[in-house]
Amino acid sequence: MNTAHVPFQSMSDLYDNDICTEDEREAIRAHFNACLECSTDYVRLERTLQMVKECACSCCPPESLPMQIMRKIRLRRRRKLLAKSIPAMAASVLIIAGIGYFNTGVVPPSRQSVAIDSNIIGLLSDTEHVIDIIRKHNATISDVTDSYIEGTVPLASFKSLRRDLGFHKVAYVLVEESNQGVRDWGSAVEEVGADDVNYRIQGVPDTSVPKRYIRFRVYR
Amino acid sequence: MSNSDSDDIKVIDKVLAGDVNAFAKIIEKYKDKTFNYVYSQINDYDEALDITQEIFIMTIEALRSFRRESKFSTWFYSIMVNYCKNYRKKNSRYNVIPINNTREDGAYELQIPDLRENPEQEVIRKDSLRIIKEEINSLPDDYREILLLRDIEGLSYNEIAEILDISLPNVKVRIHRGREFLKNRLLERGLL
Repeated sequence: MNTAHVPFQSMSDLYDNDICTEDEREAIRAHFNACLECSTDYVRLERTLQMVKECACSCCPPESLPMQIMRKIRLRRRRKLLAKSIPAMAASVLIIAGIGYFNTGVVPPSRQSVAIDSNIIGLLSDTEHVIDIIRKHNATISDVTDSYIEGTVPLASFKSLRRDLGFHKVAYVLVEESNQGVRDWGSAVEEVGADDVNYRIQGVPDTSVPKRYIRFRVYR
Repeated sequence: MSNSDSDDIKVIDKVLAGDVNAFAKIIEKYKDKTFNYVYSQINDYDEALDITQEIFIMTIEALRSFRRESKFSTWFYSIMVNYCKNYRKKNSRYNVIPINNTREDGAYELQIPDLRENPEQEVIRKDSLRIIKEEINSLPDDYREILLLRDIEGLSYNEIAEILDISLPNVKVRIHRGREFLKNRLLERGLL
C-alpha cells in the first residue's frame, strides 16, 4: 500500500469518476481505508460539493418565467420593427404632405413660371387692347416693339384716340403726311393720362393745306 | 449528435423560420440551470431573474450567428457565462450578499425542506446556505464560474473547455483548485 497521502487533485478526479484505471481507483480507496486524514479530506470534499448543489437548488425561478421572457421577446421584436419602419413612415408622410400641399394650391408648382406667365399674358392682352383702340380710330400702326406701339392717325381722330388710350403714356408729333417718318422724337410732346391731354387743334382745318397727321407712340 | 441537441436544433430551425413561439421550448429546457447559475453568481433573486430573461433574449437575437459547430447548449452556456462575467465586472457591488433572501410575501422564499417542527435546525440550515453563498461568491472569478459550471450545471470538462475557450488541462486544474479553495474556506467557517 502506498503510504503517501492522496493529492487533492486525485480526490477531485475520483469524485468526478475521472480516474482512468480501476487499479488506480482501488489504490486510492485502499489508502482511504488506512489513512484517516485522507478519508476525512475526501468526505469534506464530498460534503462541500453536496452543499454547493443544495445551495444552487435552494432557489427556483417562478413558473411564469418562460411566459415573461416570451412576452419581452415579442415586445422587443415589435419595437425593432417599429424602429426599422420609422424612416419609411417619415418619408411617406413627407411625400403625402408634399403632394397635398401642392394640390391644395398653397404652393404653386413654380412661382417663377407663374409670374412670367401672368406678366406675358398681361402684356399680350394689353397690347391687343391698345391695337384695338388704335384701329377703331382709323389709325395705322407702323411699328410694334417691346416698349411701344407706333402709328399715325389723322389729326381729327387723335383727340378721341388719346381719350380712349386712357392712362397710357403717349408721345406724339404733328406731321404733314401720313407716311412721313419722324426722325427726332426728342421734340415730341409726352404726356401720361387722358386728362393731361392739352393738345388743341388750332383753328378750323384748311383743305387747301396738306393733310396733317399725328404720329404717336403708345408706351407700355 | 445527441437527441437533446438534435431537438434543440429543430427548435432553432423553427425559430429562424419565423416561429418565435417555438423558442419557449428552449426557455423551458434551460431556465432552471440558467437561473441557478446566474443566481449563484449574482446572489440576488430579482437581479438573477432579470439577467436570466436578458440571457434568453440575447440568445434569440443572436440565434442567426449560431454556426452549429458546437452543441447548442455549449453555445448557449457561453452566452450565459459571458453575460454574468460582464455583469459582475460592471456591478462589483454584487459581491456583497444580501443577508436575507426571503421576501415578505414569501413568494421567493428559499425552497428548503419544511423543518418547522425543528426551527433551530432550519435556522442553522439557512445560515449554512448563506455562508456557502458568501464563500462561493468570494472565490476568484476563474474558479467560481468553472465550479458552478461543473458542480451546478453538471457540464463535462470538454463542454466547459469549449464554453470558456480554454484547454482541457486548464479546466481540470481550475476545478481542482476551486474545489480545494472552497473546501478549505468552509472548513475555516466551521461548516465541515
